[in-house]
Amino acid sequence: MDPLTLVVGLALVVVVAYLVGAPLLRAEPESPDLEPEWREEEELETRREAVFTTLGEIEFDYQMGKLSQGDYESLSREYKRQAVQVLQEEEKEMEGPVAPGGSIEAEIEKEIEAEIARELAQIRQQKG
Amino acid sequence: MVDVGYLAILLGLCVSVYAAVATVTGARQGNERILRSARGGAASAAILASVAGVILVYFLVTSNFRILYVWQYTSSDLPAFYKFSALWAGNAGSLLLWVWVLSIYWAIVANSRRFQERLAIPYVSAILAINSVFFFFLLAFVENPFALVPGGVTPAEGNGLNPLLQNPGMVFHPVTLYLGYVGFAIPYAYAMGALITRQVDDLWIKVTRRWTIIAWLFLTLGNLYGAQWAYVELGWGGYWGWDPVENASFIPWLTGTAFLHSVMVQERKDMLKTWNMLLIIITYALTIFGTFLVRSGVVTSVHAFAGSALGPYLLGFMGLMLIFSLYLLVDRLKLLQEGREFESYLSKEASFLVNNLLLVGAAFATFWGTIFPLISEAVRGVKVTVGPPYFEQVDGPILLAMLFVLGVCPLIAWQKANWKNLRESFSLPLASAVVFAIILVFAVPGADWRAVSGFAVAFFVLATIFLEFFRGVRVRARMTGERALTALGRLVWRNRRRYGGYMVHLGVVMIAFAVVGSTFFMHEVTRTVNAGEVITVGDYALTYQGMDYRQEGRNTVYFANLAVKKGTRDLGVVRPEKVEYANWPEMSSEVAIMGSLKEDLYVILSGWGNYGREATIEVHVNPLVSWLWIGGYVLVLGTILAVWPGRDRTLGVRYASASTPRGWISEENDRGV
Repeated sequence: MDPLTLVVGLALVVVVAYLVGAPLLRAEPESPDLEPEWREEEELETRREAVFTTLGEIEFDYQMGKLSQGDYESLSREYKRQAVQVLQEEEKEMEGPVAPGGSIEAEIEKEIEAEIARELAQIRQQKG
Repeated sequence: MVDVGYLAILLGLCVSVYAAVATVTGARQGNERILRSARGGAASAAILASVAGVILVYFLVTSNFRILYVWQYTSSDLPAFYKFSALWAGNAGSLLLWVWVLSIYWAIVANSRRFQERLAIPYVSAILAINSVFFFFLLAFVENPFALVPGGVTPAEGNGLNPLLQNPGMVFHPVTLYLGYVGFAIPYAYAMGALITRQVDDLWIKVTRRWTIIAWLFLTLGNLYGAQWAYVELGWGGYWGWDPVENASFIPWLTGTAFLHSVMVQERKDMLKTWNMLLIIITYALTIFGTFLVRSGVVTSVHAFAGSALGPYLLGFMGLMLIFSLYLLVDRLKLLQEGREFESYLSKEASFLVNNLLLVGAAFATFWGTIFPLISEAVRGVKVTVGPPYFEQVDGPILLAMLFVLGVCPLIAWQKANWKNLRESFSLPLASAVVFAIILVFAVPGADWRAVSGFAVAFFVLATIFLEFFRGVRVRARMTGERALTALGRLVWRNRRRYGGYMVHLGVVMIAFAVVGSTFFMHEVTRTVNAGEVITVGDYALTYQGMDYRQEGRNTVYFANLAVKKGTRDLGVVRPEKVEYANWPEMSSEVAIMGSLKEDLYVILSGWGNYGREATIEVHVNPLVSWLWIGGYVLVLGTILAVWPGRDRTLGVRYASASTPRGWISEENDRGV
């Protein structure tokens, strides 16, 4: 066996031993990726995006004629309710001061308008 | 360095075994240290496979004929490009490439930080580790790529690469195919992880969506590159011959396509959960089965590898994985209760189901036709041949129906379509398809009714796609006040997943036009001519001007000169060739193709005599073939658009029932119950 083969072979064994063995010798590692807070935050963000995406798509599909009037109204109402719920949870998470007199609702309304697009507002304006 | 290569394989086998055991142990004990060590094992396997791969490539490129594999598949005068591609010219090298790709995928999955706990990544990782163990085992003990030439001698020259493999198509075809085959192991592993941990909500589908689409893209490309290679290299005039090995990659493509579509129904409607599990298990098993067909030597094909001892191992592994997967599926069946049922046969979800049944039907028909000769030989001792007529008669109508459904799916409403919706969506495409068919009947008298139907259905789908874009732009422009072009750009970019999908459909329609056109309107003439004589095919007139030859390295290239005219227009000279290789017993054909968007003039030199004063020339006029490749590019672009990263790319929208709405974000789903 030539020296180069020996050196490279040993290097391989050392690298593998390090990658596999080192974690076993270390103290119980913290797992930041499994922190509950992190998870909750991500889940809330995912839920938020999902619900607003859904609202946007419901509107678009309705306009494209792929949802009946009844389905559209029902789905739209349900997902707006869920949007309110998610935003309220976010509000709680942030532990910000609760504004008196229905300001949360106003804030939520504003968020919804921004997320499901300006176009919806236009239609509403057109409808008067 | 030979020893280092083999050591890398042995170490790869050991760490894969270790990682498989450690991930399960770590997950069961909740021991993060063991889990991290197992992740280190996955990374090690990727490094080791890379080391082995790089060493073999080095030996190939430097023509180290002491290595049996290098001697078998290369020669010193082979261009460097093909020396490199010889990595996948034989069983051992291509298995090494397989494990290389697999171990990199595995390392990515095992070390992905997202959803570590939710998706039971350790179990996903364990499944991939088992795959890795199997392929490292094959390399270590069945097909060692670092085996030396017997007797310890170093031959002065190599055997050379099969001339048929010396084509760019053959460089990309196997790689893309492997990327596709191995890619489907990822959603399969996630599915098994979901079953093992009983977290059978649709999060595994969302997480693997991109993996699935990319695997599907590569499998599609693999099939298309294979077709292109067959077209330009095999010299029989076509691109698809329903060869067992072609079918071996086409069958998982069919079930993979079905899976790709049916998961959308689960995402949106919380349905078809068991079906999706079954589809991914079948697709995964078929990728192994395809490998078995190609490598076991049980079928005779220009595409197949020489017979080897691999067959029983591959079949055994596939059987074990199938038994394991199906047991798991049956055991967890209660967890896979459907969230809801079909509300109407006239709905998008129903059309998806029909699409699935057609795809799986085509897969089964193709599978049966492919394995029937093997079964017949095993049972009756008689090897029957199942040729293109069977596949064309059985698969043709199914694929045509599938094409029609492909036009229906995007336009039809979720949940329950009403007649008004159907009328508005389909009147125009249907009417235009009928008009197109009528024009075709008059423009091409005597056209085969199957061709007219095929074109009409393809045109119908094309019209639905354009209508979908048109309506989308109109709605967006109305809602936002944007100009049409701006609306189009933003519509597509902000709904990449949806419009990327439509682009893929557009690519499929182009391919369908090409297939129908080239199948039913192809002209073919074979003639032996003397110098000065003319061969007439369709509008083309080819005048044979005689034979010539040139030297290319140690190879001699013989070619015929044929002046081409179309009507009164001179199109130049085509030169179909035969190449005589210094180190290969048979000559190979290099066809001459004069292509356009309308048709290819495809010329083959079959032979010559009388010192080249006469030659036998085969001439094909293949309509629309260019659209096969253009459709492929459109399909690639659409797929890239659909998986392009960005907000909402991993989010699906769930359309719950209008009467009992339920979002995928509900507590019940979120806990993965």
